[in-house]
Amino acid sequence: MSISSTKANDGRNITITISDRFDFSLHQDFRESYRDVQVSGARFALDLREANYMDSSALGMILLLKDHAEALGGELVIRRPNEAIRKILDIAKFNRFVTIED
Amino acid sequence: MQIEAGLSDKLHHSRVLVVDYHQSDRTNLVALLTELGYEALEAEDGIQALEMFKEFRPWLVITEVFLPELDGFEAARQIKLLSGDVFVPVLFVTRSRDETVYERCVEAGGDDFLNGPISSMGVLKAKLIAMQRITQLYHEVHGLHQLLQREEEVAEELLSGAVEGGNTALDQVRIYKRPASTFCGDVQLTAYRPDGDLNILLGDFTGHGLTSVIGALPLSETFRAMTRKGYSGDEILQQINNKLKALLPPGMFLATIMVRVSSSDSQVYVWNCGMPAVLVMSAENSALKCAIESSDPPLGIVNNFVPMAAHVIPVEPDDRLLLFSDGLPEARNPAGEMFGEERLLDAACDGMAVCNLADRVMYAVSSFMDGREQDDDVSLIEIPARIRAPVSTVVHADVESDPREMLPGMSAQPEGGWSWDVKLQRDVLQRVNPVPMLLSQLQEMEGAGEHWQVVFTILTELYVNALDHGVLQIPGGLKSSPDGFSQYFEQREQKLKALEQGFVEIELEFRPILSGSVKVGGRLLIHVRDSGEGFDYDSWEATRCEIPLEERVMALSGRGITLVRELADSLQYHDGGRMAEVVFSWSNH
Repeated sequence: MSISSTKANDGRNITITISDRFDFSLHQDFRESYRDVQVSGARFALDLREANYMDSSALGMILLLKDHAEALGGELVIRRPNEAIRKILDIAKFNRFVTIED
Repeated sequence: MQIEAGLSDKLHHSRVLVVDYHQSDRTNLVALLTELGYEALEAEDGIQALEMFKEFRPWLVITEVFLPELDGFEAARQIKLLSGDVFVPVLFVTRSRDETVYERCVEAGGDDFLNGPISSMGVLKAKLIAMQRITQLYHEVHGLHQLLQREEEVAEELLSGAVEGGNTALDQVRIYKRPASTFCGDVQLTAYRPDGDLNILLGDFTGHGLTSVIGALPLSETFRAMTRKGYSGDEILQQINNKLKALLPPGMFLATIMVRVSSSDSQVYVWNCGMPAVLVMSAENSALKCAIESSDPPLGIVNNFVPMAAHVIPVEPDDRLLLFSDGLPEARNPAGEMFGEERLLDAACDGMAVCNLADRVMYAVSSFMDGREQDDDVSLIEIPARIRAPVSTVVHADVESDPREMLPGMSAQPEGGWSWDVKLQRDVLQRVNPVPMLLSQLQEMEGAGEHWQVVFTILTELYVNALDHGVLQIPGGLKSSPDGFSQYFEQREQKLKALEQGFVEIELEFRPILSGSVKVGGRLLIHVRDSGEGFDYDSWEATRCEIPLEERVMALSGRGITLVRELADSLQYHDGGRMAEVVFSWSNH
């Protein structure tokens, strides 16, 4: 399983961790990892420390998660992308609408 | 689903073929099958089995492994071959307890095996039900697959016909495309602007296959229509963004590059929205001149998208631009290694040296992949930094008359004539380019024609002069060096943002040229007036004559006015250089 999601005790801080390849094959699992979170003000962290590859459909998935977070009045933070993934995020200028923490 | 029905029709669902050399075992099995409601056919050797199979098309074959003439393995192989796309399960029966026999059964294409002789009704029934289930599933998958293939073919036709069929200048721009699946998420478009410049767009939609065609149609329509009407690159990208944002499901978007090249300018314009860098290759030393990285997010993500200013790249006529989608550097070889930017750049430099850029790069990536199947679409476009001017068929009116006879405010307008003026101030100047709108209105009123390209160029040059040098007061001399050129654009942007007063007024007066009562052409009187300090046309002309001809041709500034003077019947300045007056006439072809 290359997706795992953990919730802090208050249920408002959700960390989704991706390992290995972040691509279209994760579409379903990725959606399921946040779909049931309906707490208002939920804060999502997408931890990419263990991911080593990302394609454009993953960018699309991130946008879906961002929409979900914003619909709940919450936010999304991307954490620790590796150099290759950081480059893809830079090319797509994602830093303009998502916080990216190294 | 029709396809599925078609497949099943070829088979007889109640018919089972039993192949066994032993009469008693055969009779036994036939009796069991009959009791279960099947019509059982019998064959005693492999040859006979094949004949029976061809003639009666049973849905299932139950065969003993060891047979005279042709053994069960070979018979199974032949039956699978004869069935082609249709799934016909083969069930082996064997008394042998030799483990290697099971392996050989599966290798020969067998779907399951039973230990013979079969005596239990329960076991047989269970196996038959399982086989039926697999057969059903196979038909469904097969049907769905055919449906998908057919839809992809339609989508591909749509893309190559409606979307990319309208491309132009393909003798100068080289386009390569190798889709990963039948249908490709990459879109490549070209169209001429009214001033003869060429816009080229390379887009990469998220995902592959059918989903990408949703956006391809509005993309190509917007790109073509707005390019033809002369809208700026910024405006075109904004509009594409708005359309895609409204149309595409969230999570789907378009990474894109747009390039504008001309037949006369020494610079190209590049917008990069989420694509890999555009490589500008120098003809002089066959090396990389510069790489233009992405400066905007892909289209279809944000509301109210405003692109960063276009990259303006000074170029030599023989320089070339290379555009590609990420499928190219990310193409893999059988060992799983990526082609990468370094190999790509090496191939591009080699290609420049032999004047065969795109071919060389495609050859390099093909040899690198060494037959490995693609994960992603591979797209490549090679563009010359300067194109040949499009063939224009404008013919100036041969009806000679004094252009001055057409003056604004003339009392009676002849039939079919009209006049129109627009005055733009402050904030409107900041956000609207009136020329495309005027052009589009002119075409609405007077019909399409080649002469509008010329009118577009004249209006654009006069408007830009009025705005830049008149209202914004930017000195024209700044443009005389490539460096100054980019400074010029920076200054222009800053001044435009800070603009608090000033106006540009455009007056158009049209008169048809008549032969008897038939309209054979037209004449347009153009006035462009601005709030600036006035342009000293006479001294400009005087200095201009002192500059040697070659330098004049190469100069980056002052070309606008020269161009207008060449295109128009006449050009004059009035009101201390604050108003340009142009007469342009044409004959309908």
